[in-house]
Amino acid sequence: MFYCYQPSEQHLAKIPANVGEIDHDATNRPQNIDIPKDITRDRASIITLDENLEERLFSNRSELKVLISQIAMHISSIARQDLFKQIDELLDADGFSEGESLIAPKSFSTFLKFLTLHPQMRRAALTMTNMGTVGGTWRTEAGKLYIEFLPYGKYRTSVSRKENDETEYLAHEGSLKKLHKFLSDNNFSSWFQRVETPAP
Amino acid sequence: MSEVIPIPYKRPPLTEAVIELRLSKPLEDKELKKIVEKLKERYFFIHENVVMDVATALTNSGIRQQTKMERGFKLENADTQSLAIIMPNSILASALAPYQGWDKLFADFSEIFKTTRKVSDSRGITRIGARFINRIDIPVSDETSSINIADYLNVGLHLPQGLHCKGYELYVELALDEGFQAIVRTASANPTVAYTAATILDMDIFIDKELPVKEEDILDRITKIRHLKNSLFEQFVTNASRALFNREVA
Repeated sequence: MFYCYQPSEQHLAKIPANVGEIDHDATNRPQNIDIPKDITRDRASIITLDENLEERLFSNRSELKVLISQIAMHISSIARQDLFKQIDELLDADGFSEGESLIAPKSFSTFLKFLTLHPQMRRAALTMTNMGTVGGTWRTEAGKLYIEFLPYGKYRTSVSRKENDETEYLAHEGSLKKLHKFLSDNNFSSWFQRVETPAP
Repeated sequence: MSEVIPIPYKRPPLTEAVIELRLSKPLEDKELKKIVEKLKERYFFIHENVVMDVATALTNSGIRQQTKMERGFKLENADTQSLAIIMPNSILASALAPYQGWDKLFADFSEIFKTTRKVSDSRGITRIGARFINRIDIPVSDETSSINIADYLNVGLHLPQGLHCKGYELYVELALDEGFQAIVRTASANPTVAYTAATILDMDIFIDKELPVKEEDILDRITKIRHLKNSLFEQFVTNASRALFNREVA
């Protein structure tokens, strides 16, 4: 929610006395630079004719890299380059066949939101499902954590945890906020935290 | 307006920067292809026959999406951080975050512009502009947190008491020095980052009258825009915003 308390005098816009000279017909107002919609927010608006597989893969890679650019100021350049590399590997034409799903940007956005919630996260092994959603896997000696990132900030997770020679399985789904709590409550957060190497 | 030296922030909020030139007469199909042919070595991927829905216009009845379909070319580098868009009526260079600085964007645009001039020397121009879209991510504890816009931006929005503001958009036209103008828009936006509220500071700085003809004079005007942009940005943001831009990246 936004609000603006009574702004101080210096914040109030000064309307010039010659207000009559301002053209109030909005259709005559100067036009903004028309940034094609696909390079701002809505990449889906681009229509490319006769796309082949390589072109569609490039478009998908490009779409996801634009999403990464939107959080670029919140992650390190190493983490960003690593994400680029994983995307290039997942969407490589050599391992892809016609008819396979591309990565759904809305699923990838959920993953990026998760990443900004856990900036100390160590590298996940990213995979994609045949529904086009992305999943991340983290393995430790204590077990395996898999999170499938669904569109609109939803997730599905499965955990296998070893305890006293027995393996316990847990599954959970919900919104990212719940995931945060689920991971903390079960002490799973430490499974994907980056371990800082002490300086020699 | 006094010149402001840009401060290198640790987390610059710029999400996209664009330099654009509008042409007085549309480029013909063969000219478009020739320009792309000359530029293609600098880019990784070329989208041909790209049809774009480009315009958003303000009307008396509010914001309206105006569809202006144009067919042209989009050239992207491998990381999709640098783009060149060659349309019949305009040429532009765009850079996405993380912003690599003005010099890189300007060099990209200069190349596009000089190539266009070589192919189509006779084209006049109708507008020189650059647009800078910043998104300020303001940490919040939860969705019910309130953000005072005036803490982060030097703009005033005075509402009747007791109203529940879910979002806002402000549009200001400014007259700047030497015939330049600016359209500054600030608005709330859907947050991209968890536990933040986002506000946009979008600055489009341009000149569309008494336009130069010579190549170096056109590029000189573009350089002037850089300084105007830095100055405007610093005037619009507050110290609370600057503190956000200077946080360490984890």
